[in-house]
Amino acid sequence: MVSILKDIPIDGVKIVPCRIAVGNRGIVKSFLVAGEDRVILVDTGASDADADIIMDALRDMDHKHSDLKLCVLTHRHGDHTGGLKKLKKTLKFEVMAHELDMPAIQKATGYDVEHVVKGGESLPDCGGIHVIHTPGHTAGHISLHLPRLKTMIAGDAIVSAGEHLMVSPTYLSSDPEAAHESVKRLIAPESGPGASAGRPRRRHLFRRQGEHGAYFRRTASVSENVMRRIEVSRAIVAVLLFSFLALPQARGAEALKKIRIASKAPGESLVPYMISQRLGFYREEGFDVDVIVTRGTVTTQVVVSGAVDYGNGGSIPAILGGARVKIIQVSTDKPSQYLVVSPKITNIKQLNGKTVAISDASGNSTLLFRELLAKNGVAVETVQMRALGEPSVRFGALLAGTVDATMITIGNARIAQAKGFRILAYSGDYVSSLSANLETSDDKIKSAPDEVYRVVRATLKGQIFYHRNMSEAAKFIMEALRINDLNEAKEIWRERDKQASELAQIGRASEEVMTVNIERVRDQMRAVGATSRIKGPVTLDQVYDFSFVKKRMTKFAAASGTRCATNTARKRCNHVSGKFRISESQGNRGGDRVACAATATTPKLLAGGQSLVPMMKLRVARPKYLIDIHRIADLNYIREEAGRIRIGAMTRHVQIEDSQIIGEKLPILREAASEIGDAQVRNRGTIGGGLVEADPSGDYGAVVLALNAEMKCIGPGGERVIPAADFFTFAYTTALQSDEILTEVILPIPQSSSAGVYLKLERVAGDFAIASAAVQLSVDPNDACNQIGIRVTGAGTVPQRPCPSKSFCGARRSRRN
Amino acid sequence: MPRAQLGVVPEKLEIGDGKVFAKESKEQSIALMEIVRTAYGAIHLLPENMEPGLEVTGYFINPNIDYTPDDKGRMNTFSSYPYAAVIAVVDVDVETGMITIVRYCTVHDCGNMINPQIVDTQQQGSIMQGIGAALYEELRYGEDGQLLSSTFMDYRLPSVEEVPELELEHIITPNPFTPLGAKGAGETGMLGPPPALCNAVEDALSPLGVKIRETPLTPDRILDLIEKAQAKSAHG
Amino acid sequence: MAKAISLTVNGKAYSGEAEPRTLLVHFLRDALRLTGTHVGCVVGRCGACTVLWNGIAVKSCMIFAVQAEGDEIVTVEGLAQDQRLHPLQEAFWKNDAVECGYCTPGMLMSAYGLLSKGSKPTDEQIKKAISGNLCRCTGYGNIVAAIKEAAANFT
Repeated sequence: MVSILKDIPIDGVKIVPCRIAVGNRGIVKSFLVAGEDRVILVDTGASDADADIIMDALRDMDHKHSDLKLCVLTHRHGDHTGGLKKLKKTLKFEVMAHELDMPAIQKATGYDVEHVVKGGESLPDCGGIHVIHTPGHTAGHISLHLPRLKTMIAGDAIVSAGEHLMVSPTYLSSDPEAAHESVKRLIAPESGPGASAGRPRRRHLFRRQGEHGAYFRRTASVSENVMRRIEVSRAIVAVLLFSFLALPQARGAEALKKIRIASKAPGESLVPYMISQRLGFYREEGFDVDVIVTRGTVTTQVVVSGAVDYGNGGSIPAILGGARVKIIQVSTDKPSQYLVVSPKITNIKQLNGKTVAISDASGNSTLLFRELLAKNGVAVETVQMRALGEPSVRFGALLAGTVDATMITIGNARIAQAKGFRILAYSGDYVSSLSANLETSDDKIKSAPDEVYRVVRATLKGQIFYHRNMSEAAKFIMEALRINDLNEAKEIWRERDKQASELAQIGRASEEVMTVNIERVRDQMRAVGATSRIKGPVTLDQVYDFSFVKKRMTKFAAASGTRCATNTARKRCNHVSGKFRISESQGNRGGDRVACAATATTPKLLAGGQSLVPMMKLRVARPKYLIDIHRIADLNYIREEAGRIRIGAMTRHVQIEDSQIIGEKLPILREAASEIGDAQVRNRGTIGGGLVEADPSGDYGAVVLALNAEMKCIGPGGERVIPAADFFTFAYTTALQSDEILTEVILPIPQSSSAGVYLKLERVAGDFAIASAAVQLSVDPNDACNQIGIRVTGAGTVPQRPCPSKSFCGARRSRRN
Repeated sequence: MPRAQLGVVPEKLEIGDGKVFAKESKEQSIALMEIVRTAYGAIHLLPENMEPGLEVTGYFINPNIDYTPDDKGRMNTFSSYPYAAVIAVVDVDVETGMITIVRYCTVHDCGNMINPQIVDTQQQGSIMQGIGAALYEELRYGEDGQLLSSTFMDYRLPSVEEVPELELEHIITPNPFTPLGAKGAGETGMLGPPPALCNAVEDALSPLGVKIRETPLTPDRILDLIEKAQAKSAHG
Repeated sequence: MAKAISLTVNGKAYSGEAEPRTLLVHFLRDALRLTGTHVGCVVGRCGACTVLWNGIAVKSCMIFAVQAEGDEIVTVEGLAQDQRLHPLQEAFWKNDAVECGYCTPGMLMSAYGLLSKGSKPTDEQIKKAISGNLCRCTGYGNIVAAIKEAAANFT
């Protein structure tokens, strides 16, 4: 601890507590510094009485009064100059002070300042006493640094309050800003020999006053004989601070392990590492990471050699050639290039017979291009490929018109577009291209799997953060690429985000993509005659090891009885359990649903939360496990299909309210949605949640019944459709089984001569209905009612039919003026 | 402290021009800054037994407040009585019991309005509190004394949608008994709605013989009252 | 069991610990010390806890902090920029739309959510947007007027 705690003698400096208040607790200090041939006094207390104390102290030091030759005044305040008069009358010495405080001192004391300093001077005593100008508390405040004694006499630049050190308080300083600056200059630089001797280290100090007051950070403990305590009540003290050179740099038991990651290029691929390092993700895991930029092919080699611990080179040829490394995490799985063509080409199929600029016969981009053609049913042989090399050359050829098409990155693609060329396709929509994010040696995986896991965990966290926080990531991109334009950085982010599918964002790739990429590399190697380097057939797990990434993203509740069955389906959901959070994410687009089979303890699904959470807060509902499904994007939709409107269960009330389709085809539903709760509730609440909650006063119930809707749900047994009439069975109860999820509401579009209205009677806005009614009525060409749906809420545990519909059929519209 | 420093009794001291000086000889002065600095900073220079800090507490007793009860036991415990007049026009839907405030006009007097904008806001706010009490808010208890309307779900505070058109006028009769001639401004609004609205509703439902004796006037209460009144009139 | 989460609040990245049961409003207030967002009721009715979640006004007392992992939150502390009040805050001040101030952060954020949708709202639309924010003191009139005024200056 920085115990400015105990009175500890310092060789050569006597601390003289001066008495300026009632009682004998000195609260201002003066100092007697014993040099080789003289004694120097620093400050004189506040009064004649203090002068006496100083003179006594001098004698206690076994010095004669005549040994005192110099008095340095740190500043002009009376509690430091008050004893000067009597001392001057009794003893013979000279006075030193800063030129800016000198006039006030002379006026107050009536004595001249013989030695006027500006700051920067040094006295020869005690191995050197350096004068530092530290304005702020007063304009001419000075502090003294005695490096050989490892001592700093700060004066009033730094004061202590109890065990706290702080900058001289604002109300006592003539220029608080300057005072703060001065103390910054007093703080020791972090490294460099000797420079810090006696200077306080930054970490021992505080926040600027005014930011929650001053506080003080305690540091690792220091050997006793370098610390000292000042007792303070409220006033200012002169503080002595000691060197902490002897301190180990590390704080307490927190030794971070140094990890080196080699990266094959500077630029935005470095950003996720930067994020993980700067936001402390590595630190959380106990690592201090250095990223070293190397050349592409060298990256893998340095990992193999053990010179670095990890790399992002991911050189599949090297691995195929026998390098004992594994790719353990990927970052993008789509290429970055766009197919740009001359304006007369509007379809990939038209590339038949055209000329395309490629880099070389077997370059990566060429292989991607060939795959893209194949995926679009264009025979490769019909396309004339011209190997032009560098992207800039290819680009030039396109612009000049000597080729019809080429593959280039978005920057150049946009330039071409501005010149009238067409961006025909994004290659990533057709082909995949895996980029490694982390690789490490087989040895490391075997000998230190826990470390590997933690490194993956932290790196992945940075990667996910990157994808989820565009604005923050963009700032890092600006730094990494040294660009100033935030919009440009955001563009770069968007491109990179585009290049990573959901699976790649969480660090891995599908089997298909892995296989394709390895095959592509093999083709390349074959083309350049390097097949001999491939040692035998290669299986996926000889190249990739995603076990760490998988482990990170899949944690299961070790709960009693809750089983999460994920059979055919893949979806992304977050399990928020009563004990800890599970996130299971095997998301690939393709969106089947998970059936969460629960046994003993039924988890509850958390959709919008606008009903469930308040119920939990009131302890009316007490689910042990909550499954948060709010990120399932593919349950949120409004579609018109074959005379029906299909609404995904996670569609929010506000979306239904604002939907054009619903406004046109099913205005009754819009009316109901707009009456639910209030704006914030509508922003989060979902139709699925509302229906499943089945509140007797809920707004959707009457409407879906009046419209003869159907509810589609899915469970371990498969999908089924429940008609609305069978859906609501009792208050807060529906026909859904405990292991089924409502996925869609299907509403038949009423015929064109139809209208519907939803009316709600409520006491105050945002309330539940006292009663409400939904009526959807259709008339035939003779204006006779041929269909009607009426339901009311508030009359029973489920929405009720107030009277048989038949009683309206045939009724004609009455003509009223 | 200036007495100690200047040797002049406080009665003979004046404050002005940034300093405290002796009335009789102006050169004898101390700058206010100095006094403040000493009082808070250089407290060691304060005279013996003088507390640091500059603080003073004073009292004002209003001349027309009198706590002595008269022969009828009455006291005047307030210095002023702001007042208002309210007219409310309501529509009552006899099928649903819902009340709509068609117009709400009020003229009130709070003496000198020190800040008219604040007075208006105070009125708007307290009127809404009164409307809440008249129409929406209720503390309901179960048979066992359990509070049933214990959250905002059940204790219905009016939202912005419940605010009617307010017509607000002021007249000013300065209060002779306060230094600024002001009276209180925040409470008058609240007192108006319950009687005004209840009387208005009673007036609206008078053909049905309804008498209002209870607030809030929730729809179910209105319907109950109508039913009872109709039943009563059916029995003669 | 607490878990580390990170999210962006008012443009800054924050990391903190939250148990799964911790509500977003409490995370903002207690872990991040952003106490401008207020807790006014238990049942999600009063709206004093309104914040923007990925640009949308929501009541943060009905959201678990862990649900907002990786997302962008804007609280009332994020309105003023560079030591200058946001037009909404200016308008609230000028129109005397603040009394005790308890509902004010929620009102501001609901209004912000409304105004950032773009077009100039009608009185009806303004009232609809703040119908989920209860105010006991002001009677709402000045608040609606303030939001209307701010709509003219909103960027």
